[in-house]
Amino acid sequence: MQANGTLRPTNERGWRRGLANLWYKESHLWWGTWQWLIHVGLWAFLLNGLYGIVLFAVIQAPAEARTPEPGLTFFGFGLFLFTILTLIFTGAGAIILAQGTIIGEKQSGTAAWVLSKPVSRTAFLLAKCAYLPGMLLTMLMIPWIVAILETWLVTRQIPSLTIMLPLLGWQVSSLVFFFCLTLLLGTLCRGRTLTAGISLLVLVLLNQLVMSTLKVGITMTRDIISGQFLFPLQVIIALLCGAGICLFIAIKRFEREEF
Amino acid sequence: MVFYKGESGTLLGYDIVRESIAIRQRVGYLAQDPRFYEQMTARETLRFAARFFYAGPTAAIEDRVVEALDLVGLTGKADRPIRGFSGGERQRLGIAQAQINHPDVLILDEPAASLDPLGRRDVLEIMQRLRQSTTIFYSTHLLDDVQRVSDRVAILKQGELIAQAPIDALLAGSDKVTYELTMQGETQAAYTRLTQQPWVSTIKVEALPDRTIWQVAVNDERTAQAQLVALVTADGLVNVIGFGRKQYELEDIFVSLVEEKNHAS
Repeated sequence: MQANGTLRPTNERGWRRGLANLWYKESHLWWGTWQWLIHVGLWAFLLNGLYGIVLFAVIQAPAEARTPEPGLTFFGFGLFLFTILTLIFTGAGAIILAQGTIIGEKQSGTAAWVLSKPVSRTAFLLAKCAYLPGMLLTMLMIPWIVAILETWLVTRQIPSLTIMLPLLGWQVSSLVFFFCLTLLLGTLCRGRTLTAGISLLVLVLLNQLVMSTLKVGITMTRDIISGQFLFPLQVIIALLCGAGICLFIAIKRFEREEF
Repeated sequence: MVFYKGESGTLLGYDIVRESIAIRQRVGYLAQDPRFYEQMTARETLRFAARFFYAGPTAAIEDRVVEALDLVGLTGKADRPIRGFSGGERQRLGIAQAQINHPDVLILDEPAASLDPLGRRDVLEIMQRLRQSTTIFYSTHLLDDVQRVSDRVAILKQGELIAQAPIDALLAGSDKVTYELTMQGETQAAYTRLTQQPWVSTIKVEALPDRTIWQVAVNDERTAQAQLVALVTADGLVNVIGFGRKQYELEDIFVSLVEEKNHAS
């Protein structure tokens, strides 16, 4: 094989082989098109719009009926509502975005094409996580900034970093978990519907746990606001571990996939 | 081109399972129905493919991409999304991406199978150019194509190799020389005379409305040249309007080998 001028063979080895190129390609799909801007508008409209409506409705209620538990301030309840809304909608968004990334490539034949190049299968799968930075920014960071503004307008309070970071950590870990779970299901299932269906079922069940009694969510929010991070931290660690396990199994499964 | 556990063998000296990436580094591959990212342009696709093999300045990568586009005649369409490409253009792009790394071996799976005559001609011309610098290993059912662009041929039947040889050797491989005669008139008596000759092996007859064609296989070429036409026209009832040594086509060889194999099994 001859080299071409100043070109030199790529020096990636092992599981990283092809990762940089694939990561760049996947990132470009998000940042190189209008997709990221559409997402900024969509999520701000959806999350902050709903949050604004709920805040407006709650402020109309008598002061004693504004929170479901006496121990939780209106400010805290506002943050709780935003967290729950974000968990549900961004979880569903992550599932919808992730459900076609593996299956779509398997069905279209592009996975077989890419894997005919010197690319490790681990790199092919990990590169799908290139969506995550864009998703975290457009689905969480920007709506959070707008939500802070909305909360300040209604309660005249701004959450401190010690409150914001655990809540954000909870949301980030949830989004990453559902993204990785859907990637895993994409390597196991043959159809997008089944992949998205199972992931959405898990999302609904987990959120039902939080929403039905309000105990878990409110306890976590109150702990966060009072500066006690133990329970939220356990949930965040559990979600991130779950995401890691999903990714690990997905990689192992994908290594045995035939195209 | 993916190798699986349970399969075994070597390619270019590398184990096909354990050293699969090293093989893919040195081999170019085009699937029968190549699929690319539809939203990408041809240039982006080649750039993407090149970066799996090369690092270095962007300009150098671009030079490599332009070289590949020129090779397959897609320079004018380099910046159009692939979703608008015809079958022939996709196939040409497929060849370009397969040889972007100047592979030691280029494997093409039915490269011209689904193309119209113009697309097929283009692909064969590209293969003609590439064979100067790279070993091309390709599968096809289009035997005319094989005869045009191949040096060596391997014939497979149900996964079993039944013949492998340089194409010239394969075409000249029959130990029998065959002459083709095209005649008009009453040929029955001439046929009888020929079958009585010890140097005639077989006669294959094709009767057409206005003429008869014989393929006469002989085992003594010199005697046949001297006597064949004279014997046929001896009674004056036959008018020979064409005579010559039969040029074998690959299709004849293929059919003959496969039939031989069928009879043997």
